[in-house]
Amino acid sequence: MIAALIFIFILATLLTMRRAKPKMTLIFFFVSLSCATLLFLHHASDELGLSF
Amino acid sequence: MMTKLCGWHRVSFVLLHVYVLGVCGVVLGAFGFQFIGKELPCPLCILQRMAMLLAAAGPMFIINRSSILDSDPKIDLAIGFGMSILAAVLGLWMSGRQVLLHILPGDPGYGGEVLGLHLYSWAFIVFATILLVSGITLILSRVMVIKTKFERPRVVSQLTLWVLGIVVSTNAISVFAESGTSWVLPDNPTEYKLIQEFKEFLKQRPREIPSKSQKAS
Repeated sequence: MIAALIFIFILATLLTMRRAKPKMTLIFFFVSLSCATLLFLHHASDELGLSF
Repeated sequence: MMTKLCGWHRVSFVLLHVYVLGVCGVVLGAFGFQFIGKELPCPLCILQRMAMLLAAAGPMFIINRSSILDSDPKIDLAIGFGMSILAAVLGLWMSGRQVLLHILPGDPGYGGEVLGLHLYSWAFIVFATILLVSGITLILSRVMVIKTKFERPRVVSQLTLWVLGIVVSTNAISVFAESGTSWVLPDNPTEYKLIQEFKEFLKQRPREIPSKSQKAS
């Protein structure tokens, strides 16, 4: 479900691109990127204790 | 206000669309493996798809900003390709790890092959190409920056955004079907968990609901 949520964040990144200010796009982009990195660390290692 | 593209600006504008649609094509190819080849993607494959779509969000951002009048095209180019570079670095990390997992001689690898290479090896090449293209575009930013502003987004740009949005949405649905109600994806998926959970739910439900007259007796 976390993976599906990250795809929804990516969709939100695209949907906010038509706004005059790019702030929301960048926020959603970095949230997606951070969540994808954390999920990758979770799948790549058991020792980091990043289990959701 | 200018509404016509000329020279290098036209080339740059076309290349940005090719970039986004190219990435969409790669992800749709992976979808082909999933639905036609009946190969369920592993968690690392899903994560690489995310990184690819995030890398495509960069040029899509630049395309969208070309119809926002008070934006600075140089800053938009820098932000867009910065987004692409960050996503491509993450993707290289993910695909590199998966390549190293199957690097030992005799290891059959995960999933099918395309032209002798597994999908994660192709993903590594795609991310390296994205980094290369982004770096070259930033070096050539003086000629590649789109200074032209449009009154409203072009039809081709709107279509590209729709294609990217549909690819992201279908991935979200497919991943939700694969993971079901569990938080993370299974390491070696063999079935769509959501469908399996739904079948089990139907089995557990009482088959006959007693009527009011039966209850009274």
